[in-house]
Amino acid sequence: MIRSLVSTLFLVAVTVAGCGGEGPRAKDGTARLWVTRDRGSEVLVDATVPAGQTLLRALRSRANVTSRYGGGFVQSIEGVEGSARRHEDWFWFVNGLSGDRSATSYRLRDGDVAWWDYRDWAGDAETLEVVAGAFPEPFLHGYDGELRPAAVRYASGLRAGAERVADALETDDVAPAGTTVATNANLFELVSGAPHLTAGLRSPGAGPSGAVRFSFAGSVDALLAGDFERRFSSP
Amino acid sequence: MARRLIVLMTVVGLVLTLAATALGASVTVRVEGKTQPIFGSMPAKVEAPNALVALDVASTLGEFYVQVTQASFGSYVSQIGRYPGAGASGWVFKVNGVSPPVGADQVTLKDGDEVLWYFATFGDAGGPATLSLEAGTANCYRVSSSDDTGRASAAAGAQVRVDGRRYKAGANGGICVGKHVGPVRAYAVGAVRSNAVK
Repeated sequence: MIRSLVSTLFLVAVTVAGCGGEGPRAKDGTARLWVTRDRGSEVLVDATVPAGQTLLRALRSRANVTSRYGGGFVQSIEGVEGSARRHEDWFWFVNGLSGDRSATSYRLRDGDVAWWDYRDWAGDAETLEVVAGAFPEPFLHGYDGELRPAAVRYASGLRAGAERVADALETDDVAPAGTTVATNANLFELVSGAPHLTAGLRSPGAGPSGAVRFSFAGSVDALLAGDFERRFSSP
Repeated sequence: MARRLIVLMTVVGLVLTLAATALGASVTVRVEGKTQPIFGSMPAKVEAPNALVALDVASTLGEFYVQVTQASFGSYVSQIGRYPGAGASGWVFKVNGVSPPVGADQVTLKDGDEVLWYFATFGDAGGPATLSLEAGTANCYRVSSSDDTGRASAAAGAQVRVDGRRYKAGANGGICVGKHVGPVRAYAVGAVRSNAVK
């Protein structure tokens, strides 16, 4: 009797330990978690979460979440409900790249920026593939652990600023505009003209594993200080 | 007097029960063929007690062929329309997005159930996902995709067609198609086409 109780307890212990394996471990590092509304204009959550867990699990650890269809589709966060009728929904981005799968199947990696945003998608459900506000991501941590080389190109007279951006992006590939860029590289273009920060895929429609192109004009100090954090684009 | 009333009520109750069994529930039926929709692209209501009768009633309303074959394990639908099942392909059904583990005549329906019959080719991962299209305002739509267990997700990248135009659904399965005349429908490789919405 006692022996069978012991083995039962042992089984329970093993089972519990097995469940624990699903969760984050210290060696997986940490990720940032942002929950915002209306293209980053209202911040609901700004937290550091353990990496090594799924995007949905990380979200659930910091916010009240309801999901539809057996968990694959996030219906509401903190009481803010998605609606096909109003064409408003929760979207997620990792390192600024719009997700290509259920949040239950993206596992966060060290340094990832996980960003949930609620927006009216009537104008851009299919075209919005990259947002700029996770800069310097996706240059540093890529998508799903896949990193790309980074290239910085600058317009005439902007070399000093470009060198500083390249430092932040941890790349040596800095050259004047017009210099060849590897087709697989994430590209940051420092240009002159009206201040702006925009981001897109170099090949539209390629999905989050595609290479990005950022275009920036304005104060490099402001950019590196994080002035554009959590903004889809600027102006 | 009281006794007669009780008898009367019992009889009425019995009749109602029998009627309910015979007519069954008020449900919708959709039938998606191998190459094109067959019936009920826009929800068609029928009265049926189970999923097999629902198909039979639909076949009368839609004037399409259905063959039911008796086998040792029970009866199964061996053909709908032009194409019979063969090898790893065949006719299967879902109720409210879920594939029941029993035969169609064993699934008792209740009011409001959505019955979907479709031609499926089975692989290692089970049957194909089934798409579902939901309408919003301003000519916007959202597509979701359900697996055999009814677990669904946004059908990101699904193709949405209307009036000969084609669109790609966004990360949430959402897409706005602008003004249109004909019905909107969603497609994806390896998935059963969606219902149509006007």
